Amino acid sequence: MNSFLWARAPIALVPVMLFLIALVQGDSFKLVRLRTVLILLAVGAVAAGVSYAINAYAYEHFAGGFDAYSRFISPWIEECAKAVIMLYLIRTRRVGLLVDAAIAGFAIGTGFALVENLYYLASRPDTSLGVQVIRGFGTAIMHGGTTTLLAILSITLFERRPNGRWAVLLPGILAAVVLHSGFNWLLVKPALAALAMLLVLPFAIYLVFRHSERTLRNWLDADLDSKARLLELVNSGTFLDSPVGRVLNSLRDRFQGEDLADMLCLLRLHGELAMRAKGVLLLRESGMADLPLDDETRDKLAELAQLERSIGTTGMLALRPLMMATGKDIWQLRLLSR
Amino acid sequence: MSDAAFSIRQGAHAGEILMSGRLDASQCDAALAFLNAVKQPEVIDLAGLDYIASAGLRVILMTVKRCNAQGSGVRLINVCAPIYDIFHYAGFDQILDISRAAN
Repeated sequence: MNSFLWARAPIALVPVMLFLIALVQGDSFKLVRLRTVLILLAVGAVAAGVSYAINAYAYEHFAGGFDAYSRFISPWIEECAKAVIMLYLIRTRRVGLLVDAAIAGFAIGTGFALVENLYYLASRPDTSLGVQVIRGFGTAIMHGGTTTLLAILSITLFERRPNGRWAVLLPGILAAVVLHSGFNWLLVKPALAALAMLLVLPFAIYLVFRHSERTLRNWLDADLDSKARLLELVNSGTFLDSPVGRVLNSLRDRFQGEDLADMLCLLRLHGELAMRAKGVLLLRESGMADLPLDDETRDKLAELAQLERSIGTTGMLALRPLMMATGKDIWQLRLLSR
Repeated sequence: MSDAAFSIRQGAHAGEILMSGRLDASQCDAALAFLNAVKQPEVIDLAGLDYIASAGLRVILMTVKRCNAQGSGVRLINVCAPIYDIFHYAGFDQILDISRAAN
């Protein structure tokens, strides 16, 4: 790296990094660890490398000019490369809320932008300072913002359809591509494009963040309450007389006695683990250290997996209305085993 | 479970605090303000507390954190079974000095 690059690189890299740090620090529940952020930055950087290779090949075979390519083709390639990582995070329940999805999305976009801006600086050393400022404040924030938008839309859809596959990503990819393409259209007036990104995206992300934290607090309250009530019913032996117990009882015609016993055990275990996960969130929100995963919780997680296998897909589908198994419910158990 | 209103007050000595009723989100600011005004809480007697929401757990955790930072500890005593279970399931019995109410 030459001295020119050292001198100019901060302009292109620092704004987006500062915004990412602000997002991570602004998360009261500390859902995304520093290590995860660094990994996502690296993976985003790899996505930029992959996109570069695909773009180079596609541009060679593209009949139109550079403007048309940057408006209609490259946004698809670049947003899809970032979306693959997001899909992996969502499907494996590594993110489960708007807050952690937004941070993960912005980190991936930031990693992507860092490589893209460094490449741009290195390959065009004669670029004016103004363009580099625009790349730092505009293009980099845009990459973070589009992936955040993709993440927010996808996790919202996934929350409603936890078993959704690629379809949950499509609206997010479309929105990210439209935003990316719109930015590239505006590049005929680069200062305007950068200003638009700088004014709109961070503010929009901030609003989503605040809304998500409120939603998370409400969910914590409501779900802690309902799980505590469920466990109280099970422990007091009055579960079968409760509305949930009667629903479980109504499954007698379709399942054998031992399956129903397993289902009751699973409901109880799921309730206990869900409460443990909420304990982790409350500790983080209070700024206290996480508890190490104790043997009891580890055993419960193993038993839960065993019960899920034993009950089978049909049984789990029958149980779903009783377990309120939304994306968040599934994600919180993953939080325990991390 | 009764629907008693939440109350928090000083016990027999300066470091003792008595809580009763329902500690839900609507009572948390008042509860935290009261606890913060106590210089060095030593014992929080939860004998009369019959409900605690996540916001209430947050109040307890923040008080424990403050006391830990001061180098003192705070004990939760006379915790009824349903509330003790909530602390236990959340894993807080591993970090808090907490004891059940005698039957």
